[in-house]
Amino acid sequence: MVKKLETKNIIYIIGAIQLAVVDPVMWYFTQVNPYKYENAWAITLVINLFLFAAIVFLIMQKTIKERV
Amino acid sequence: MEGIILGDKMDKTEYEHNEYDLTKLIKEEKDLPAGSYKIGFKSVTSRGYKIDEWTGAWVATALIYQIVSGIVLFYYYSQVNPYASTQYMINNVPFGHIILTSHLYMAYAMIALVYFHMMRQWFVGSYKGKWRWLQWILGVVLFLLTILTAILGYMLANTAIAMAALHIGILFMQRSVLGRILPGALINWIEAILVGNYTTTATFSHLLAFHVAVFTVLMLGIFAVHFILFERSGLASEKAEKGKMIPWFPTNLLYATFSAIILVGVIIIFSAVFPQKLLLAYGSLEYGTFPVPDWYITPIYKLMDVAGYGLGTGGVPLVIAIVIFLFLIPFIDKYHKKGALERPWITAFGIYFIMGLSVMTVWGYSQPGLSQTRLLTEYMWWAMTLVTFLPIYAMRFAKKDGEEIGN
Amino acid sequence: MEESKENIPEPERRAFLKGAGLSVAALMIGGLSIERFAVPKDRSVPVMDNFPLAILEDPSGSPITVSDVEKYAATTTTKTTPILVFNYPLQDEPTFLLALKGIKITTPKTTPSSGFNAVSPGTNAPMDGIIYDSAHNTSIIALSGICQHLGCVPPFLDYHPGQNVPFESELVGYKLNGTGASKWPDYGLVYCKCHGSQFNPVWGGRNLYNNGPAASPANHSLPQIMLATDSNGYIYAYGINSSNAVIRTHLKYPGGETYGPGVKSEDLTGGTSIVKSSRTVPSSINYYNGTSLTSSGPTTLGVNQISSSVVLYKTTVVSNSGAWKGSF
Ligand code: FES
Repeated sequence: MVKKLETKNIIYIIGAIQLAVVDPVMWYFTQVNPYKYENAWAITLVINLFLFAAIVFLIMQKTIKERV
Repeated sequence: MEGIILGDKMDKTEYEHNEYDLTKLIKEEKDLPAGSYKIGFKSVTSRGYKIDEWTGAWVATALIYQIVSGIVLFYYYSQVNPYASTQYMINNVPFGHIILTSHLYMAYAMIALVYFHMMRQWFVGSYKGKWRWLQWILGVVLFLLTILTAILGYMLANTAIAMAALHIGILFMQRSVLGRILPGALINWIEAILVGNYTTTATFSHLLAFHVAVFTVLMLGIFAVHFILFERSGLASEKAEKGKMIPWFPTNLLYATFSAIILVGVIIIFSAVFPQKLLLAYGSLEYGTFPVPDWYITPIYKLMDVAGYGLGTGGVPLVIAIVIFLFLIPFIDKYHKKGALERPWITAFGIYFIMGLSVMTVWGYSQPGLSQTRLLTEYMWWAMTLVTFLPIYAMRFAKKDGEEIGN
Repeated sequence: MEESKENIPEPERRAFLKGAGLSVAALMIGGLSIERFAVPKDRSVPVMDNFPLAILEDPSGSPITVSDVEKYAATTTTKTTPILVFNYPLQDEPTFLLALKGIKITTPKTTPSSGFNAVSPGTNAPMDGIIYDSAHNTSIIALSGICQHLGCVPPFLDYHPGQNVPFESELVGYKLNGTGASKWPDYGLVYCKCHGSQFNPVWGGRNLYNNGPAASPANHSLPQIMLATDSNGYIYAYGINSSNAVIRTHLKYPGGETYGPGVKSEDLTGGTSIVKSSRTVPSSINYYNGTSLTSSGPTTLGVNQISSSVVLYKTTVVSNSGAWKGSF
């Protein structure tokens, strides 16, 4: 690889996606036409959670690598 | 690095041996690999076995007893038929009246012991040093949770007084300064969480969930942290001394067991001898009834009457101010020397707190629901200020004087 | 432990923390969108379209009549009188049924436009929504039994007639045969023992009483439940006097209306509707429209008109003693 994306930048990008893409969609589902998109909302919630889990995973990987 | 934790040899091709010696669990592990975390039970000196060091253990005992007896009661409680199911517990469940009464009395004991525990730390100043400031703050949270859980439990029987308390609580949220400052939607949320759509069944389902699950779990969780921090900070009043430490096992465990048995025993005896009488059901009519709530609510009730500035505007901010003060004590108390007289105004204020609380409790119990004039109120507060602060400063002066003569 | 912290270089650790913090914040902001669901769908939604037309029954299920209630009438010399309570407009919402002998409760002379101050009645016609029996000079009035201060209900909120000064009222300065402000009114007061609010039933729908030695912490009158009667003498409740109409525990939150015609939907939320009656809807019931008995009810109150589509509900009058003993 020529220029590897640093872990910390990947983390920032994921966080920004959560904030700028997933969150507005979640709000859209509950506020516009409240009781209609409950399933879709649940799925976006899980996407949001998984993105957070990805960050946790990346940090964890890094600490394991550094430590051994 | 050798990954040895327990056992002597470790062959990677074989399973480790089972351990049956339980005492090893609580032995100090000297050979933990770097980077491990451990929670240990510390040994203490004989100072640690003085009775005033055990106030927290009693509260913990009460909490555990409440959970156990509460689970039994939960089997029989019905939020659709709150009053009738409570009556059923008393009359038809084997030992039901003892379980229910002891659940009530242990709640009383728990609140009294929480106060006792708090005031002891206040006078000793054991919110100072290490993690103790955080222990204190979590302690205040636990104190509030205890009172709130008790009030919810008291509402669950659907007695007339309980419903009055519920209505007052809800309306207070809306009408006091709180409700006026916070946005209406927020109050609406809080209310919806507390009582749902406010039909009787929804209300009791919500109250039950809060009483048996939400607040209880919160309490247990915070208590765990409170306790772990305590084990990390150690006793405030002693320094570890080589050769004088009494091992945690078995002495400490035995002591804890002993004091728990005594406390539970006393409560059960009381509940057997003085069984609880269920109060008037909501909806019953009886001429000349007094709205006397449980004793731990009366001080707040009376405080509202005697704040002298009206209920919503005087009482609520006052209670909030007191709670904020409690939270901040570890940072307000800037004294360096140990001892109650070395921290005169904190000590005086502690006594003021106790006195105010008891005056309010007794007064609220004997004359609930009477607004007092502002003059009488001011008179009372200033009189109390005088009788608390004057003697403490006088005693401190006398002590200093004595020390100087002694030198 | 100290060394293990150094495993990840300091600037990177900080970046990780920031990243994780950002992510958690995003998660919470997204999660907060569920706020809409913290409030149940049916909260603040009226459980009925209109104030119910309800016939008052005794605990055994037979309708009570005007003359039944008059047996419990209080006079200026009464020491104790049974509490009569029925639920209206919803279940678990006690309303006092009071009979006062020797007085005609009338509409106040001046019509207050917006204020909450009680106005003494003049010599006008009987007040809207009371039943006045001129043969016995007795007024029957129904007032909400939910204190307008913080919502205490009977028996803590209680009617004490002229010769019965409750202990709490004595402590604040009322005297049995006092004069001036310390005088316990001739027909007594509805007194709330929770914090000492006082309501004068003789003042009808504008009953907040502040003329005594201590002011009421409440600042609204007890809502007046409208009563009417038919040719059998049966009693019906058909609405709430809109001059002061929000039942206290129904306020939505600050900003909700407290009086005026717009409060009906507030009054009918947060509860369970009362039970339907199997009786037939009476062909006509008599209202007092302010001046005379009439069989055509005022429409401005949103009252059920007597027509084939009207549903008749029932509610039970209970008392602390006597034949109607029971709980609401
Ligand atoms: S609730 Fe009646 S005076 Fe406060």
